[in-house]
Amino acid sequence: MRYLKLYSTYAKLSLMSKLVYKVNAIIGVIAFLFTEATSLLTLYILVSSVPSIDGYSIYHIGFLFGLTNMAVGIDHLLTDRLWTVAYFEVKLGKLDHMFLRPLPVLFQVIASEVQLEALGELIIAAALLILCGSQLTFTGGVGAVLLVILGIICAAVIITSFKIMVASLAFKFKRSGPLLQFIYGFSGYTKYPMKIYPKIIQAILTFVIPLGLCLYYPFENLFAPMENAPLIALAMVGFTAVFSAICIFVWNKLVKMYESTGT
Amino acid sequence: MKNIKRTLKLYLPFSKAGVKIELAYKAQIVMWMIISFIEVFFVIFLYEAIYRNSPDGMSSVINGFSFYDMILYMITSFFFTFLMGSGDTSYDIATDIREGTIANTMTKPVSYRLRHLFTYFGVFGFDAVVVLLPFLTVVYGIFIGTGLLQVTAGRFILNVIFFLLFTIIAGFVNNALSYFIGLMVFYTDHLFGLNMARNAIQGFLGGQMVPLAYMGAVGVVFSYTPFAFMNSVPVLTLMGKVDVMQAIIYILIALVWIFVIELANRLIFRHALKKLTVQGG
Amino acid sequence: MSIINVKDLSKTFKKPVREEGLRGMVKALFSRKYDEVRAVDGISFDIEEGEIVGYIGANGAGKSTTIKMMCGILHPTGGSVTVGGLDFEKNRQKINKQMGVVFGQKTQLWWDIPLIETFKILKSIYEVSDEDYEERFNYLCDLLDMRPFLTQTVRSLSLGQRMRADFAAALIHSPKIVYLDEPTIGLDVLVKDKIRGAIKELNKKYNITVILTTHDMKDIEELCNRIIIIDKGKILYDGSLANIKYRFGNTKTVFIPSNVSLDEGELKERFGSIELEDQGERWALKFSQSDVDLDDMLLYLINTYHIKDFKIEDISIEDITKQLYEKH
Repeated sequence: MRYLKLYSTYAKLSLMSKLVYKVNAIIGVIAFLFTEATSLLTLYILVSSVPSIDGYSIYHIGFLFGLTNMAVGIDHLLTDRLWTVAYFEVKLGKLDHMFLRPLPVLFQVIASEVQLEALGELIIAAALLILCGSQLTFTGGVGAVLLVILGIICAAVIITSFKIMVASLAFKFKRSGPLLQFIYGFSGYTKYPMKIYPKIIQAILTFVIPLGLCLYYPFENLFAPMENAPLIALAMVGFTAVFSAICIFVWNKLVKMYESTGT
Repeated sequence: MKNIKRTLKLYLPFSKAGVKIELAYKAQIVMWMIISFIEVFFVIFLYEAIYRNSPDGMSSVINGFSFYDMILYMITSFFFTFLMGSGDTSYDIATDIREGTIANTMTKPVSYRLRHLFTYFGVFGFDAVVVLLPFLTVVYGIFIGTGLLQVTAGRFILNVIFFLLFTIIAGFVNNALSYFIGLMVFYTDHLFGLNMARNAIQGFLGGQMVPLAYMGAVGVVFSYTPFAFMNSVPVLTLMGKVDVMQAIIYILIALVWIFVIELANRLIFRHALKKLTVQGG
Repeated sequence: MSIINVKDLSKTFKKPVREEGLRGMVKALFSRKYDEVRAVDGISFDIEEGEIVGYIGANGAGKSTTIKMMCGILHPTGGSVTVGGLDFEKNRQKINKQMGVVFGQKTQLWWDIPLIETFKILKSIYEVSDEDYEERFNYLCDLLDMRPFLTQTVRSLSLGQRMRADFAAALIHSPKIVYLDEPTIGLDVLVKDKIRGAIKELNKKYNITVILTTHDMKDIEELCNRIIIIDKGKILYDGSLANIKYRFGNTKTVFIPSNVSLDEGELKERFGSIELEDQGERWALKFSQSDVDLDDMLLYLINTYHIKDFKIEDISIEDITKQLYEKH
């Protein structure tokens, strides 16, 4: 409760600082909007050149794209500072003040930035879910919808956890930005239906980087309800919980190696 | 003639510096290439799914591209995009503007624009010769050797000549645009956002992930934008999908674009500097 | 019981050794060699509640590293720091609540928003009650004269205003211990006086323990009753200011232009233990005030050489450490 209140105070200050630079904020939103829009258009052009891909219509694919972007956008909105930590702040010793506060460093890193630029992704995601969703017939019930929502949340938490773990490597190696970029890139590949990939990549996206598990299976479940849906829900939550716990553990270990250089 | 010699003598050291810059960042370059290649890899799977699902299966020809054409297109486009991504001038200009050193450059006997152009061509030349050409030689060797790309020797040599010409043109267009983006820092300091928006537009209109031929009539219009000259046109030329007449038209249009962008840059530079001196007092 | 206990504290930094050229880069990918740098090398001391301690040393002596370990920013390689019996390993957040820190060169205020907002968020971070906050905030505002710029953004404050604000921000939660790292660096005399006055008053009124690093001898003279001198990661001196002053503090250096043709022999004969150094553009005359009377010396110089231009400097931290080192 105390953390929730503190978070909102931190978030308020972050937004206040962001709004000082209005032009920058607008450019940022537009930049992400363009990036997502062109990536979507590319997909549209490709998919519309054939009647359907392995049984998926253009609307199915657009809907899945929207789900992925929702998860990516939520993570982007809430935890963007991890990027600057990985790229610069550890290396330049800019986190000193966070070690002086009676709060976990990780909490401060995450709470201190609300990234409005994520609106670019979230707007596209919402539009896709509404537009493509209205063209599709869903056979799954309320439960299936809840599973999708749970899936989005779990996927966002998984992306964040990965970012936390990789960013914390900067405490040991000074800079982990490029590695973070490399791994983060994988989150983009779940926007295409997993079925089109070779088995090995499907396995990676289900078990190693379980974004596929959290986005693709609930998506499938909307159209062809699966018997083992509760099991999937359990697997998602379980996997996400264990995985994020491991990532936070790694962070807490490595954060002690902070060297505060650059002064 | 004497003038050209003097200019070269004055500015070639900047090109040499460009080569050195590129040498210093080789680790990052390799990293960047691996990251981007994975994306290409995933898109190839998407293409595979598309061809598999089209009426004639894997042997379909969609919008003039067979599946192997598509792979060749993606790989060529990947290396060309790499070349276009290196030596981005906008960061240097942004630094000059933020630190105010841009005002000092006015007092120096070298042109600010030419200095950046020559530095860029140092980087560009290095990457073209060390990365682009060797890799493409191997790739085209394989494709021609296995018969996946069928082309006569004479025609291929012609393609290569036009490709090299378009590559140099792409360098000019690319640097003019980077310079343009860099100058925008006079008005906003969110360079990261500007470059991101630019890359999105350039990737799409340049046909990085999907050939412009997939876009019908709109694609034809796109093929005359400056962005097409930074990917689509050179790549298609090397693949032999551009005939000589069309190539000549492209060259003329590209020259017009370079002229227009450079003119815009000149006007913006003047306007911005005036603003700068007024503010600086 | 002492409030801060530092025992056998040491910190070693590893610096990767880079080999030249492409081969070196490839090698570095697989195995890295490190040079070890011992920034702090087994130091111990206790600090009692209410003390004002000057922690001094030349640049690179290990001063900042020690302070950062004492604040919990850096983890020691060896030894321990305990504050009120607690150690950072398990109780960082508890210790942080009793601690305030000011780094002269890095602000901890929220940069782009009005100053007052920083205080509000600090209130919730440190869980200060409404009454305590009101009282403390008003007290600090008056003490440091902050009211005129409370609603300005931190970005727009002058260095002196920002320093005062940083200082107040470190004290808003009524800490028992305050670390001040170069709190007066770059400030004008008036602001320096204000900050020194505030430190003195807070120490007297609330018995706050202050640990101070500085290059300014005046900070030390006015504030500290104890100083610790560190060099090359080891403690060179730990004791009263009076004692160190007795040994070195009286040393003054008088600089005069080099175009004055000094008679070295006569100077030495007249004043005894005086060091004369030709620094190119100027002469440096070093002497201890216990041996030589400054007034006498100046009078002599003015009368004999008609000097119009001169400068007097106190001994610097660097000189003191150098001399301590030589005596050891």
